[in-house]
Amino acid sequence: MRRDVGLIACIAFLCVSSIYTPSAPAQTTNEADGIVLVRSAQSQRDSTRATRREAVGENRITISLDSVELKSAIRELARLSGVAIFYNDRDVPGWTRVSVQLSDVPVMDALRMMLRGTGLRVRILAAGLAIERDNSAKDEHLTDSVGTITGTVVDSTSRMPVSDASVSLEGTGLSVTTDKTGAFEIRDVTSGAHILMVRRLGYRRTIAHVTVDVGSVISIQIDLIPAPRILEQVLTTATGEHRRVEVGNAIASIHADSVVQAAPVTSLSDVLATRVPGLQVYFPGGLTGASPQINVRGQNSLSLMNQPLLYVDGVRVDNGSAGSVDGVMFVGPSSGRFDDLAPSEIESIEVVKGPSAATLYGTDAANGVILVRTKRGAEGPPRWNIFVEGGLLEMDRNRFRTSYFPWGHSVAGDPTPVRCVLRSVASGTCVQDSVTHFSPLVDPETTPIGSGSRYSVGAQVSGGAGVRYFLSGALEREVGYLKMPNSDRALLEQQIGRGLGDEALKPNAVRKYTGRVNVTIPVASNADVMVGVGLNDLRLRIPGALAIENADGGPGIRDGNDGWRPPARPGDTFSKRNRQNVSHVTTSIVGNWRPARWMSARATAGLDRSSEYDDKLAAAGEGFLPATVLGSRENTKIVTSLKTLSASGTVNAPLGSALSSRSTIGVQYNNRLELINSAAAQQLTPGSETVAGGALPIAREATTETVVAGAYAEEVVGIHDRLFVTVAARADGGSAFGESFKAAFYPKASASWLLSEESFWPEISWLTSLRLRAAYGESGVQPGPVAALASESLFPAFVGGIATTGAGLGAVGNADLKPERQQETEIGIDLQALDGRVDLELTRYDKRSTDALVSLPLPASLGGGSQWENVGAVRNWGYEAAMTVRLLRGEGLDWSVSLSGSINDNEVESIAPGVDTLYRQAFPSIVRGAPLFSYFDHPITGFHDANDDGILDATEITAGDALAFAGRSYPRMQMSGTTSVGLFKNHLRASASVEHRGGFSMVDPEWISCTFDACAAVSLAGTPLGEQAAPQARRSPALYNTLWGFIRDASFTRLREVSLAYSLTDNLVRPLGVREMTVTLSARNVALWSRYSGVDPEVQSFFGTTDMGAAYDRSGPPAPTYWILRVNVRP
Amino acid sequence: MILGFALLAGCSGLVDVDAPDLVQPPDLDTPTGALARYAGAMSQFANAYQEQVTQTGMLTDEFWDVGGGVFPADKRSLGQNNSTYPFDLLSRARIDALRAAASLGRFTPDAGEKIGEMYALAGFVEVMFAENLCVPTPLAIVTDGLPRSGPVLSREQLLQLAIAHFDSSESLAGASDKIVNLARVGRGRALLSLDDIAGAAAAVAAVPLNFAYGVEYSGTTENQGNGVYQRIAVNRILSVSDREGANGLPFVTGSDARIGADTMGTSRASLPLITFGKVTSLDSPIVLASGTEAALIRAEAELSAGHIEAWADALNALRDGAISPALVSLSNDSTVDAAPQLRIDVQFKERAFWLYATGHRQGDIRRLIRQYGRAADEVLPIGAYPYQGLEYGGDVTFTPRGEEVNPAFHGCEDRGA
Repeated sequence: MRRDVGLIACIAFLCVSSIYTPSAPAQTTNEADGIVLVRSAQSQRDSTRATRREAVGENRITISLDSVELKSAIRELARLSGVAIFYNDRDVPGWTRVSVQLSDVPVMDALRMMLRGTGLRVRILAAGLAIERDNSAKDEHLTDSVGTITGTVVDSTSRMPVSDASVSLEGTGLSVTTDKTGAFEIRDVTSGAHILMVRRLGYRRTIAHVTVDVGSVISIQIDLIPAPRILEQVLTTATGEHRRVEVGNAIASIHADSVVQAAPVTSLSDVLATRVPGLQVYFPGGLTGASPQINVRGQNSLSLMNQPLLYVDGVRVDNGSAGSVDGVMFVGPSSGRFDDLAPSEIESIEVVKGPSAATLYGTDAANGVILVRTKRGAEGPPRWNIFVEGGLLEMDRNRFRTSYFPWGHSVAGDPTPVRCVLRSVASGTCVQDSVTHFSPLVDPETTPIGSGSRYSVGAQVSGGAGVRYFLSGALEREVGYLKMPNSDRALLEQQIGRGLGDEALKPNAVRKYTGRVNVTIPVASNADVMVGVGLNDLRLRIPGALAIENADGGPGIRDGNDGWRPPARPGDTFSKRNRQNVSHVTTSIVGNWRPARWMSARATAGLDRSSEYDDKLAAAGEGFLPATVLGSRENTKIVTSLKTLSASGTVNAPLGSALSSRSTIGVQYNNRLELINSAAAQQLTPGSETVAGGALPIAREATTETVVAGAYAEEVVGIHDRLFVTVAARADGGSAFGESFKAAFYPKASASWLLSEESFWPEISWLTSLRLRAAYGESGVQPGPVAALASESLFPAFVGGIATTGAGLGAVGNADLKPERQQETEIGIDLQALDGRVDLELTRYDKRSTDALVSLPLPASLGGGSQWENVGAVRNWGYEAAMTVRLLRGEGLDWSVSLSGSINDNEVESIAPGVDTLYRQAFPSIVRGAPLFSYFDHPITGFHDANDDGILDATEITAGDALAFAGRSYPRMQMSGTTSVGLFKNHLRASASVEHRGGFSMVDPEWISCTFDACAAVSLAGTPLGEQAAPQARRSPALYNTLWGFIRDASFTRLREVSLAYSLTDNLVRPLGVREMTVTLSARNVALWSRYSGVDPEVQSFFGTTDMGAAYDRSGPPAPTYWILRVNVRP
Repeated sequence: MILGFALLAGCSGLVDVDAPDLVQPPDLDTPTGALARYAGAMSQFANAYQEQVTQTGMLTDEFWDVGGGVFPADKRSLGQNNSTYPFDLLSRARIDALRAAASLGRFTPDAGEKIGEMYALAGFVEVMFAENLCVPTPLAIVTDGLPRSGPVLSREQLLQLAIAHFDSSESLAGASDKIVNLARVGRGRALLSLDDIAGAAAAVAAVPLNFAYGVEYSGTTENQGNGVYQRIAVNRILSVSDREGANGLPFVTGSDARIGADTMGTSRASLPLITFGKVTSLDSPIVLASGTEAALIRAEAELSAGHIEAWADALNALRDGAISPALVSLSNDSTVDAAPQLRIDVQFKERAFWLYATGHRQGDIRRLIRQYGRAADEVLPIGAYPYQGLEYGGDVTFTPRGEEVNPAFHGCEDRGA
């Protein structure tokens, strides 16, 4: 009704009011008229230029007026826009002056802006625009002493209005937020000069100086310059894509493509290492193809794997160790599926660190989630990327232990040479004559350490019109540094009467084909489907039980066993065939549907299938050990399938001008099935290479299946696009839960507050943005597939002269078994400063594992074994920091430094009722009140050379009666620093990264050497007493055979990566017919600094599948140094 | 979310999986299953027994660790955590035997011989614990087919329990001479440890000399090869010892046909490697109980009763009839004319040679200390350990490793004989 009245009034205007049409001459003004309008710093435009557009009201116009009388301004607008404007002369105040500076805005919006604060409004008529009195408007602001500032905030690049920008008048407390058209209005502004501050996430903060006269209405347009920031990054979460600013957790993100091109990385784990605070990569040895263990935020579980989940394009992918039933005859560093994915196919990696972020990934996600997104390709003509890479591997500069032989003769006069160690000298049984030393690891004839090589070639193409595609294929070949020692080769070739094959001479090698096809198909204007297939075909040779450790305790001379501790020597291991053939295919189908602007839905289906064939042979009559000479054969096939089905829907709903809501519900189903068949035989007939030729056949079969099915819901509420509150929950059922436990429920809540965008936040010149975040969440880890079930074990038996099958008590089971739960609280600050030159992220987390699954040893009187129970509790807490500083930013020189670090503290809060210690001498123990997997032993409390003979014996040493903490087995602190310098417009880039891990210890295998009287401390006269104490205490039962003196600080610093990349300039690449070419020379593991006396403090061996957290030094092969030359070409 | 929960609740089948390679206890509640449990118990006992023979042989003077110091037992230096005694394996064998006995009784009640055999093996495990371990000793009870922690027992209680099991065995075995005699020898062995020598002799009075119950081994059956042979001939880490640690008997230099010591070259630590005649392959059985042992028990009863000539006759009868060719009879100087202490030495030396590597030696040595007043340092290896420059420790018993998680067990109270 009101609208009708207004229309009638407008028609009446035609009779009584002045009519301004484009034909009427416009009155222009200039700045000299008085009121000063300070334009937004980002917009300096012609004040009278206007552009006509087609439709009335929708015509777009650019206009700039400074302190012009309103009526004149209206006339000018009509003139410039060509739109007729009608108004009643009595309604338009003659004394009001307006200032506007508008660029490319609809004429109607321009007119509205001019009329702000006047109590007038605009109506659209067929003939033009009409101005009428707005009875709903209040006119109190038109007082004698105040004015009004109105305006619009737009993106300087896209010219689109910017909503939710904070506009505040400094020092007045006046603050408003722009609406969805980017408009704002500040009333009751006192006359005088003011500073207008405009803030918006994703834009540089902008200041405008404004002078307001009494009763004036100043209208301005402010252009915001985009300033892409880390908080604007889009992250993939369980509920779809979110801007980082909306997420209350620290989520690490790696742009893998740039890493691969510039850094010496050969695997996914290389990409992750040193680039994510709180994530640690542990290598079981420097062998080609050996699989790492990944830990995020410390060790959580006393008994279960601490490895995070791996998702590729939304599909869960197997990342476990290979050969899970390995061990029939061979033991050694295991390969695994984690590094199957080729780094060159990866677009980005996100690391979801703990339960507070991983809640919606459900049971099994408590150790974190690694989300990999492969490349998709962008629309356009085919874009090729071709790379060729070649490199060398050599041993890092390690200190290998030397064995000693102290020669002497009996004091009784017998001239026969005897081994005369210091304690024998002290006891007067012999006199030392000389000391020889020898290390088979460094002698050219006996060393198994040589050099290796690698090359890789690959090509990728992407593009498309409508349908987008990404195709990739690569071949990689790497030969490790191990070699058959010359001395062993001669013996073996003599033994078998022919030359050894390449496989025995270079026992460690991998050949890998990788391929990927990703196609994104738009199935409708609002829906698309991405189909991805990734293939990995792997041929690996990796030696079994390594003889390198048998250099510890060698005789100290090159004897008949060539200086190795009997009986093993490398040739025995290297002569065995130990191959793995793996085919790993990951298929994913991801659908996205946006049925409405406010609604979206996603669905993912995927199958990850790996087929591993282990092919092991120790031919009869070949080798040195009796068991090896008898021959053995094993072939094992392991097929692992992971099925992922998930679907979710999201509704975005505005809850008013300041609130936004994003609601998501989803379901997820994960199924893992592992099928194992193994046939083995010992005592082969000479010449036989199959199980059929063995005297002792053994067959194994295993089927394990686990399922987790869950549903989740999440609600994200945004307030002014600055404060985001998330609440969510997930419920899971799981196949491994006990019969009495039905479902697990995991809640989550988080908040992210962009504090610096608040109007009350003071202007701090150096601070660009500041965000506070906090999160709480829970997650779980489910038990092993059959841990809850009681079972009988079946095994071969020989009774009454007949082979049969026997049965005995297997597992006692636990019907109440439930998932291990983790609760995590995380708080953090993200800070950007100095105009984006400095990014800083600080996080504090506190994580507690309760109902921790403990494979609790059953008393030996019950037959031993163990029973899974939810009894333990482990706490992890710590800090993470990441900082990037762009020290120099220019066309000629660009220099940045990135630092990241983490500190993780850990404590076993409980193990089980009545159990305070699961102690294992020489290996990491579990002790209540101490960090998980720590070393304990009886401390050496003192020593004194009472007889002053320079030699300690056991009676001159004292040791504590009680076990004492001797160090944690995992680093408490990890820090890395990377510096990158770009020269010549970034055509030449040099970078280097250093990693430090500290606060952990390992048991130096020197104790083994000392046990065999082959270490310096028992052999060399003049050895400091402190060094003598360790082996003496170890051999003395009265001193508890303590290893205390061998538990040593293993902190180290490693020059991890060095690279020099040169992007050829246009004039160089053009003659070659290519668009871009980059040549990169890089090196990995270049130098090591450590006081640890073992070979390599970074290399740790791991226990079996139920105790993966415990690692120790078993003199594994050290990390190699890679030298890599890579050429990337984009034709 | 509600929908999700409803989905989970309504579709619990979503998370159901098959575990085809898992056999659950009810699956074996059949006659065939009972026989499988019987076979399993026999296999478990065999596996545990060879380990017991090896470890007790090393602690005493029967075996020498020639693998480079692998076994702390050989050094007589055992703590709670480094005891290599197969307490868990023997416990498992006992539990499986009792479970099998219950299962056989339920599903194949006519299999009395097998049921009796199971009780006898359980009794032998209890005797071994009494002979080899410190006291008190934790022991499981088996109810409803599952083991549960039971009370800790004194040596006497263990032996009484063993005797009860031998009684059950003999009663259930019925007409099976083999099992009846097995139970009789077991009862006699238990009574010997209880210092009831006359009772022991009475228990074995009816056991014929040609009786022998051998624990079966097979090199072609996984985990049931003769582990003693495996360690000597394959792993080359174990050797027959000779006069070990000053007090050891001359198992090698004695050139006794009952041992049949023979050089096999050198061990993996380049030390002399000596094998013995009873064990010639992975298939060789190890005698658990025999008419020879029964005769030795009867002989000891004669000695204990002061019937010296009868004692000497009994020993010589064995030397004449229990091995071919017969051994030379013991001289009067070492028997009837010998001093009482020497007679005891001869009695136990005869036992040591006849029962070599059958897991009896440690029990005998402890009886020498406990019942005949010998000092441990007179009967066990002492002095310089012939490797690594160590001294022998002072242990005479093993500890039950792996019992830390049993709240009822607070460690050994008596590690003496």
